[in-house]
Amino acid sequence: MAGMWRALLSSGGVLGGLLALVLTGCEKVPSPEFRANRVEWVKQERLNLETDQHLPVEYRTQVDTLLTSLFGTPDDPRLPAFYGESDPLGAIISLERLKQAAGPVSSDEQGRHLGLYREHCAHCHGITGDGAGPTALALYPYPRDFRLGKYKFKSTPLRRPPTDDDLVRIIRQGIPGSAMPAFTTLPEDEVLALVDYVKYLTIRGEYERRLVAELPGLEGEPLVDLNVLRSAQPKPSAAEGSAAAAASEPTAEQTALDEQLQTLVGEYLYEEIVERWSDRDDAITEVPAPPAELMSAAAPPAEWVAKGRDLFFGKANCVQCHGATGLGDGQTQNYDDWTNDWLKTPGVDVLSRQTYQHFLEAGALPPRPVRPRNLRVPVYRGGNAPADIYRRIANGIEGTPMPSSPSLTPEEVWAVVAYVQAMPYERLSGGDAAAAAPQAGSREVSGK
Amino acid sequence: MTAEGFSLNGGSDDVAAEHRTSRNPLVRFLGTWVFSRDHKMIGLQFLFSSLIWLAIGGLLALAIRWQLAWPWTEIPIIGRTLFAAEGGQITPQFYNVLFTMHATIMVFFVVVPILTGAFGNYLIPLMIGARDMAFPTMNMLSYWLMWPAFGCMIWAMATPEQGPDFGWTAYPPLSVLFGDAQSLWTLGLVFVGISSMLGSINYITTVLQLRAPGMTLFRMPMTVWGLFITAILQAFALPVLTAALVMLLLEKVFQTGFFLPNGLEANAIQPLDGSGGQPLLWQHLFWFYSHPAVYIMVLPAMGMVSDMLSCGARKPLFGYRPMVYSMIAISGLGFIVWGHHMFVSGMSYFLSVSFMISTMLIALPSGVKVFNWLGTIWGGKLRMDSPTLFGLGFISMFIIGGLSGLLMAATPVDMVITDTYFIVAHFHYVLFGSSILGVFGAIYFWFPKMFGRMMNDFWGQVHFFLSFIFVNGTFFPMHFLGARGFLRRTADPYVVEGFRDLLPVNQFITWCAFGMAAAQVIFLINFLGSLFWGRKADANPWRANSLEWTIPNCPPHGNFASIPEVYRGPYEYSYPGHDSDYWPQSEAPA
Amino acid sequence: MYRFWGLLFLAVPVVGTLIYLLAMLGIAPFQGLGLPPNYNEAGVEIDHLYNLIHVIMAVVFVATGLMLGGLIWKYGARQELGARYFTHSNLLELTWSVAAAGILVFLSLYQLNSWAENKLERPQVEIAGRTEPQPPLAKVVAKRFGWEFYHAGPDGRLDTPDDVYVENVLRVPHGEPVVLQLESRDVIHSFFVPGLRLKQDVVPGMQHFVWFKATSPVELEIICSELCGWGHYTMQGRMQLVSRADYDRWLSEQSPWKQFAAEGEQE
Repeated sequence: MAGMWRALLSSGGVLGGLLALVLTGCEKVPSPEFRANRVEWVKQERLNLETDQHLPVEYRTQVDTLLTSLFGTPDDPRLPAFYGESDPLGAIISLERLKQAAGPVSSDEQGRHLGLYREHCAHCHGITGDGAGPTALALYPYPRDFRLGKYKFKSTPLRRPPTDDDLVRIIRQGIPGSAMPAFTTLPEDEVLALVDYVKYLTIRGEYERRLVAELPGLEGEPLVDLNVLRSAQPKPSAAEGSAAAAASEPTAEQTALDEQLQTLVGEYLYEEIVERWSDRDDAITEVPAPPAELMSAAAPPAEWVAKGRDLFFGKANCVQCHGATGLGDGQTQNYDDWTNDWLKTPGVDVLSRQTYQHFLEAGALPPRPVRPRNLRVPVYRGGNAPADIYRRIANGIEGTPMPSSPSLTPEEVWAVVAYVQAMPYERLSGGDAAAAAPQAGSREVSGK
Repeated sequence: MTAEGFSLNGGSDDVAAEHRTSRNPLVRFLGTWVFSRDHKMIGLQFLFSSLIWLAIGGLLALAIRWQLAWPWTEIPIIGRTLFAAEGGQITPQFYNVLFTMHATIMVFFVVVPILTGAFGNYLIPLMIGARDMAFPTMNMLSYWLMWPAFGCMIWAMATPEQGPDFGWTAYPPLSVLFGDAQSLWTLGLVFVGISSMLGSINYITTVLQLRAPGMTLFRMPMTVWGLFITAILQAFALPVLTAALVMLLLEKVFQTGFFLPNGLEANAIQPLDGSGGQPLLWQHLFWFYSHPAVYIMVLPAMGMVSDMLSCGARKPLFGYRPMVYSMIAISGLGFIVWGHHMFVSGMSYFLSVSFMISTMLIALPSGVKVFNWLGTIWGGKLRMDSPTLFGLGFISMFIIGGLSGLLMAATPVDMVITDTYFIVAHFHYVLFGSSILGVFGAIYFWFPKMFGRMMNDFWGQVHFFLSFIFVNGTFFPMHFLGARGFLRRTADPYVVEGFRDLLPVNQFITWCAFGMAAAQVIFLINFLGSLFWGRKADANPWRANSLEWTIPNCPPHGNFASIPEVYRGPYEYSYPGHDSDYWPQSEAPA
Repeated sequence: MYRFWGLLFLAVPVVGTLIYLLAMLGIAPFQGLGLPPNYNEAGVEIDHLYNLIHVIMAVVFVATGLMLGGLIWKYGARQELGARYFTHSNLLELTWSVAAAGILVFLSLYQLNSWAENKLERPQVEIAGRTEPQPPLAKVVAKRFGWEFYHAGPDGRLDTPDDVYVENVLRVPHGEPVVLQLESRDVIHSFFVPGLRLKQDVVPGMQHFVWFKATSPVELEIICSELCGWGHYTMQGRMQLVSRADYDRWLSEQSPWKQFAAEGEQE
């Protein structure tokens, strides 16, 4: 019996110890925070300062505080609402949808899913939308870094933000050939919430870059006075009435802050960034009506295909990157804009890792070349529809070496589209123009 | 040849002399505790490493269960150490790593090493009356080759991708897509394969050549039969796996084109283009080993359970020869059933029919064994102690696991349930419910011989009771999940609307899994505590017949003062007319 | 104590069978724990086989489980009597081996028909006076992480430019045999439709054919059931079963130039 008591006591003791150990792991993880764009930071230092010179550390806190006061945190997002009720950002992003997409994964009493971004997107795109989540390294191509504000597959031309429909489409259909899955079965409201959150991260990220780019020029002067900023009241909305506004007399520092914010927020954020987002729907590239012969035929007619092939090898110069075989082996050492953004900093050589070690330490992902599309496989990341292919050729693909083609007339672009459509079915050997017409009923799997 | 006449080059006695009399304390220490060539020490080394990996593999399983019960919530410990920046939830990539490593660890670092490495090493020479294994140095190598494997796996989990993510089945092209973790995993398993192959050669030679006089093959305990047949399985199947792993490594590193076909459009760092390779080739090679592997993982446990049950029921094993023949049949048939893992894989459907037939047939010897165990208990005088209980638990769970196998053998039904939780339920019943419970029983049973002390039997029974309840609670509902089509290896199955109502079932399973883990803590405490404070045991506390019980506990080098002579089989319990209810094999006839 | 253990082991067949019965009858909280409804003609045989094997399993399970529990209950008590020295019985071995073998051989033969129906006997059609394997209605291309469906266009053939391409939603007619061609872009996936009892691994470099005859116009889930990477769990599609007339109408309305035709009509 003594043995049993000893057994009980010792097991109790060890169990208790284990429980204590386990419970320490049960503390709630602290709320995640947005990661500062340190790659941009390092880049600005390399561009503007001497080697080994650094920007003052105080700038970090200032930038962080400004961003947090304007945009909130991953668990508690905010919209700047700099202009109160009629703030243009309110027309672009809905705060309610934002709150649905933000925060930890959970459900509310009505059974609405919350924390959508963290459930579906954060592990690749990162909590900050920097494309460097935990899974990112295992993917090729890397997930999109929203903070540059560039998107590859959209209906608007270069340097214009995508429309909401573009973003919805990407979430719903995924991007074939990449690791972006198709979230076909998400309900409409959840997709829209995610779209708003993506826009939110993009605008926040673009704004952060703009602020950091400003820092070297300040030459040590503070970006913003933190004490005043922290004590500043948010601008009352018109609904709260001018009584509240009149209640507090602005101090001298507050006036100075207002002036600063007019530049920092009003100019850098609203004029330079938000405005581009406000009128993107006007910028949609209208795809002109295709020639009637293309629309009516089951397969692209031979003369259009021939014309397209001539352009492919000639004026449009697709062959340079896509290769004479169309397999995408023409240029294999280009990098996309998200990599070139820091890779092109003077002193960095992609072949020598030491020259960009500090960028990697700041959080940049190891550079990987961007490959031209293999056109022999009918998989197009931006979509298979002829209109999609038209847009890729006409507008290019922003962020990649795929250029727009201003020198091609609409008819010429349609010819190239016809050729691209025919390419997967083209016989690669023994071909003249006639033989290169698509083989009806061919079942070959190899050679693609 | 007998043990007396066989000269062991550098045999145990010489080995003992060498390191014991060395002046250098380090050499003495290393020679006794680290690089020992004594089969018993090597067996214990395997035992301890395997138990540590059992704990690690079990924790990984708990993380998997957490994710399935409370998807995308903060996971304790892993959440704060690895994923704090994203809010503590795991990523889908990491979930894939979790189940890959859980399975790899359990199969290659726990079940096989504990059965063949720990018990095989410890028991075979003792039970057949030999002084040591036939090749003691190779035996030591066999253990130490596991350490590079451990290192590779740990290193794989330290890579940026956090570990291999392609499931323990490692189907290409997925397993050659990207990352050092994949290569490290493959390399680690090559080491495990070599280690096991060396061990199997050792066991086969020892059993065939070093039996004591009078120890005919049909007087060997079932434990030795189980281990012997397992060794043959390993010797023939492992070379195929090792070759396949080398091919996989070459495929990954040098793009040799064994498994990758043309025209892939995978998103991977290097353009993934094979040259007419065939992904199915890997599956055939892999399953050619991995099916016999499952018998490797159960036959020794079957043998040990036979011994423990027979001793616990004070009755001869019912149908000794049929049991041996069944084991031989299982292992022989086990080489021609591998295709039942591949019914929907795209291999020829005619081939599926032949595999279906052999799979159906293999149910027969398994069933015969179950009936024989029931026959062993019938008419017995059951002693309800921990080893017996675990033996009985083995039978109960093996019945369930084996019967569910019948559904999988039927190809049209297998088409519906493969890759679902039905399969998960099946193999956990046979691997956890049967093999591991058998291992636990064996630990309780041979603990006194290994360490000279008894494990606490009351807590052993508590351990059994809780494990039994919770194993059933965890894995029985999985049959139903699988019938609904609930898929395995999915980080968030509830994306599929049709599965959302299965969340409560999953939560129930997770709670049972936690209970199961808690029950193992009792075992851990019992095991560690008994090492130091257990009641001292005499040489034959279970009153068993086989040879290891005739020598003192913690046997010395060389095991037997003089090689025993064997007069009878190992199951002479309650022999009519004999004065005691057991009759050791080496006791001279009156 | 032996009684306690005897009861524990007896509980296994009792509770197990009870739960199965409750699940079959759909009694809460065990409702929804069986096979999902089946909408494939060839799936009826599969379900039948599933149930038959369950019955056989149940008989063996209950018999052996009761025996195990009962033996523990009875022979745990024999502390005063000795054990019986009973080593073997060739008659018993023969009996149960033959019985088990009989059941197994029966099952092996019994299921051959279903397997052939599902995997070996592709529907045949008459084309130009010859009996040929029915051509596929659509090509299913699995990729990381979604499904691409290429319907054979008006020309009835796949891999021609008039193929209709749809992402993730597969529309097929019900009430007639449908053949699908499966391919993969990258790694091994698996085309699994639980409601049709249909599963086929899709191996890159190979072409697979599956067929079924759906019985009702329902919407079913398509799930990928072979690990293909981190997004394996997101790889989900929908199968919409519609009438042949609806399908034909839908197909004729599909054209890559659809949006321009609409605009043209508007002008």
